Amino acid sequence: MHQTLIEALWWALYTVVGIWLQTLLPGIDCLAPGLIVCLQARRLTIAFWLAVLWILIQEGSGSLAFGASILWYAGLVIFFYGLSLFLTVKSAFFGLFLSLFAGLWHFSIIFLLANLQELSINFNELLVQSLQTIIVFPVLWGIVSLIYHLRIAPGHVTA
Amino acid sequence: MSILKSKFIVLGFLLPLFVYLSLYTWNWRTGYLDRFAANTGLEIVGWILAPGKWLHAQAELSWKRYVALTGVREENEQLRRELERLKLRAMRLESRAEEAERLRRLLRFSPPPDWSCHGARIIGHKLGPNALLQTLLINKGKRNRISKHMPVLTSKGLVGRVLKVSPHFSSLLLLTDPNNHVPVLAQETRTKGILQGRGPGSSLAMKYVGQNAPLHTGETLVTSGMGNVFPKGLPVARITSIEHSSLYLFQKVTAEPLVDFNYLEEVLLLQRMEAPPADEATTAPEAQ
Repeated sequence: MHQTLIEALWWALYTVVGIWLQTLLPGIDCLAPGLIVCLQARRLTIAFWLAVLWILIQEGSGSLAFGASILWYAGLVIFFYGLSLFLTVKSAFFGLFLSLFAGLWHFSIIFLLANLQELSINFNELLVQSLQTIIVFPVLWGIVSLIYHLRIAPGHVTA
Repeated sequence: MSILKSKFIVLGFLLPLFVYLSLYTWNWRTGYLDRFAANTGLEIVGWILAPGKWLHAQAELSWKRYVALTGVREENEQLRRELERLKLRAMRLESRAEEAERLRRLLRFSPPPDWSCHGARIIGHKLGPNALLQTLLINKGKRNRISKHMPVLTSKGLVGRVLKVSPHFSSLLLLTDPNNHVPVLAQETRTKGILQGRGPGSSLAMKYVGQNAPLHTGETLVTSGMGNVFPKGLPVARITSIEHSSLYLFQKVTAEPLVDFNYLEEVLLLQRMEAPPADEATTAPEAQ
């Protein structure tokens, strides 16, 4: 019970900090690394509910029609499990590939859905956002993972 | 083995894809999920950002206080206290005076006939991976009778229009976004065109202005009232350059917005006043 409460408080705090970070880094998802940490720790129920909450947050504050965040999070989850079949989650290559995928996936989804919704996009801005995602994603993932595994759930198994 | 494989493909890939596309199409037609996401997600973001903005303002004030006080350390204790008190008061008054001046400028704006004004504060800008468009977040929503497509402006000129509304917060689509098209006309020459954004920091483009249409640099562009979104006559931008080319059917006109989007703190939202129902309007005199 105590542990569950600590985790709930941690994820609530993480969501608040993540949203504030997103105001500083427009176009970057600062919540998604938390989902990867949850998957790493095999906290699948928490991961599911966090994904639902974060999808609503990203869709509500975003400017595209509903659906982009579902694809974004689903893609990350599928790629995480797919990649974990070939590489250990803790390896540097895993982080590198996942970050590259995150940047590419962000670019593809936004480009596809913006065209589908007949919206004009600033190609350079989208490219910069994707490159920023590649850089920011592993940094945030590392920080969140470290805090989570050292402070919040120290005894938890890593996938 | 092949049955198992095909089952895996159907359940693991095709079924979720079918569900996703059905949801997407259904939402595209009804907008239900968009409204649901705005009522939940945008609300959460608004409630998280609004207190932070207040804290930021308080921290800024405290910092200013600290900086202001470092210069009077060597003063006599009594005089210093007095000076502190007066300085703090002056600072508060100065801050209030600045705010009052901004608000006075906003209040001085008289809305067009049949339109009323609502004031709102900006609490955030584009955020999240789906924030493709140039948007701002304000602290007014459905509860304050804000609705989609309401024109947004300051005393200097047009800012954009309301894009998304939740019960207490709304997001605005800025004039500079390429997806924002505003029907305008030149204030002096009355030449009409469509003003389109070209992204943050870039000038605006006035489109569909014929080669022979009269227009000159420095002229102010105002809303033409076409399209039934913006009332006629709101100042929008100033023409900065006009290029004629024999290769194109239209003039290449660029303009700069009258509003500096980097320093926006408060905005005005225009709401169309509802006309009394036709039958009420006609029966009322008869009843008298």
